[in-house]
Amino acid sequence: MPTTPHPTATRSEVESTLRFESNRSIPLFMPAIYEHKGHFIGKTPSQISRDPQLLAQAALKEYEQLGPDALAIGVDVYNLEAEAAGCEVTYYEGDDTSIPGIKPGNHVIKPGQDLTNYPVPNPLKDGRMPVNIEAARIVRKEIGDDYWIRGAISGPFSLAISLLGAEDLFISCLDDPEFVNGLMNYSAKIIKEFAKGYIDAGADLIIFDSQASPELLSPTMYEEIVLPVTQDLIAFFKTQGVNDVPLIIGGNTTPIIDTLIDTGANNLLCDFTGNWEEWSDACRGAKRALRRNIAPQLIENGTPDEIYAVAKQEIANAGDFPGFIMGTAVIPFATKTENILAIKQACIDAGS
Amino acid sequence: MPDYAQLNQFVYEGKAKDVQRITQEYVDEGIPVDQILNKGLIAGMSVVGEDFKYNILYVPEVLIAARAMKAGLAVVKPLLIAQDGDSSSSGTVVMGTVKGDLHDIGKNLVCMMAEGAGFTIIDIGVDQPYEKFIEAAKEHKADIVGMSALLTTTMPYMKKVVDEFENAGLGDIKMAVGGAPVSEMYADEVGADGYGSDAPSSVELFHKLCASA
Ligand code: B12
Repeated sequence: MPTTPHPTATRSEVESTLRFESNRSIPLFMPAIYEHKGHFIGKTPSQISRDPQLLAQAALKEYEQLGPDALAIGVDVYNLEAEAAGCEVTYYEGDDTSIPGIKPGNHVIKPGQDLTNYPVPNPLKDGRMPVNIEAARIVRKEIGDDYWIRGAISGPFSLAISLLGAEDLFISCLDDPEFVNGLMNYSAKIIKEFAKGYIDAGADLIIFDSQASPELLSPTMYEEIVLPVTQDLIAFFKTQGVNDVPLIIGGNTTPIIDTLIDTGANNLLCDFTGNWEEWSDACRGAKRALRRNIAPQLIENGTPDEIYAVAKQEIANAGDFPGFIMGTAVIPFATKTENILAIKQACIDAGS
Repeated sequence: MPDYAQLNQFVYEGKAKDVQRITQEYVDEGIPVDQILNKGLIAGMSVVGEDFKYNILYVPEVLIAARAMKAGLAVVKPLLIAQDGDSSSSGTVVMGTVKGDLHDIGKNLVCMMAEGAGFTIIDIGVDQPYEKFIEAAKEHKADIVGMSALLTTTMPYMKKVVDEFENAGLGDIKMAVGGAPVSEMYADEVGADGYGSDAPSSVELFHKLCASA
């Protein structure tokens, strides 16, 4: 079993925060580490994203070095479902640390296409779904049961963008809402299958849907197009025994706080550009846990002292809010470990 | 008497067929094409750009407005070129997202608005190394090269591109940068000539850079 010099929260401690019951003096610390995982073992994002052993090793090193209160299994988190459905992902070879992605033009679905009988990928066979599922299984086995491990899944709108392409999807939202509903339902089917794979491997889930951020999509469209499918997914995950579902949408989501609460997700994100007062008031009322992010530029380029001071301030702003989680925006590849640990330290010191 | 307010409104609402029809009607009535372009199409799209900046419109609405404007441009552009030749263009801009970065929604919006404002746009796509920027700038005799980056890990590459233009003896081409993590200060740091925080201010920047060339 891997050890970490930094104490981590047990599953039940995490649960009590997520269920808004915690009066834990040390806030939970959940940094967002995907491509940067590779750096812990001297590998590139493309290398760890295609090999379950490497991905698991990288996640375990992250656990050892940072002592986060949860792990997320995933690297290029928006690509796996779409790749399994046939989209081509560009990887970078040699020591190129660029992050794999689907280039414009490499999408599989065309606007207006009928998807009723379009094949749904098999998570045990198609694309790299088996890589992540296997990595989740290894990490669960190594760390044991008393720890929160989440398999990364796409949110339905972000998956629809990966399947169709951003511009075609945005235009279809206005031109052909019926097709978009079909596409959202198809996306949900894929996500459910992938989720079942993770759950069988002993992992919980974390949903990423940043492409549905109000920086791109209007609050009304979020409510009409994305909310119903997201509610359905979260309800489905509960039937599969996953009651704590983080819904991660980056950017300033303050305009859609109430709609995000309506999704049923019991832990949400207030990104570094979001308004903490409005977010925390709404979540206090609705009893939802809330992660607050620190900006990536600061974590990448600041000194540990500067980062510590900002984390301390965020923790102070949270005050007695019971569902508080100290988080980060996606940590850039090769960020210094001491910079990330400065945030962990601020959490630990808040408890003393 | 042309009803430019109506044409502006059709652009704003993304009614491509109406925009095309009315643009054609005005052309047939003998109204000067540059007037139809500026007062009808560009003016409509400018409001779209402003409203996007202030979260009154979102990306889907901007895209269909741009599509409508393009339908109008398709009518007036050949006439403008026949009339003025190359001088009908406000300038040539090579646009691309830098190496390692696949984000293109913002870049494409800038391209659409700049095209609407009369610039010739050469969009070289995403994940582009400096060689491709140089090749396209030479081939199309670019006045401006615009680089987009959305990741803190890819924005340093902008400096590489600026430096390589300098090394290739192309230092007189104006370099513009943009993308969410980029700032005016960062533009100075990498030696670029300008920064645009959103589509309307990017178009303004391109005009300014061309005027100072
Ligand atoms: C959509 C999106 C994606 C989509 C992109 C789809 C597409 N076709 O573009 C996909 C799914 C591919 C994606 C992937 C990734 N993404 Co992304 N993505 C976003 C998101 C949600 C929105 C970006 C956007 O389009 N904004 C809207 C447009 C209109 O704004 P804009 O791009 O800033 O452009 C405007 C101005 O900046 C300016 N402008 C832009 N370019 C230029 C150029 C010039 C010359 C000028 C003058 C002006 C200018 O004008 C534009 C118009 O107004 C942002 C979060 C956010 N809210 O910003 C994250 C974000 C940028 N992504 C992020 C990350 C981490 C990733 C991934 C690494 C995730 C992963 N682990 O796989 C990958 C990277 C893949 C790669 N190799 O590039 C992070 C970056 C953090 C960091 N450290 O830098 C962000 C900030 C999310 C977050 N909060 O953490 N992403």
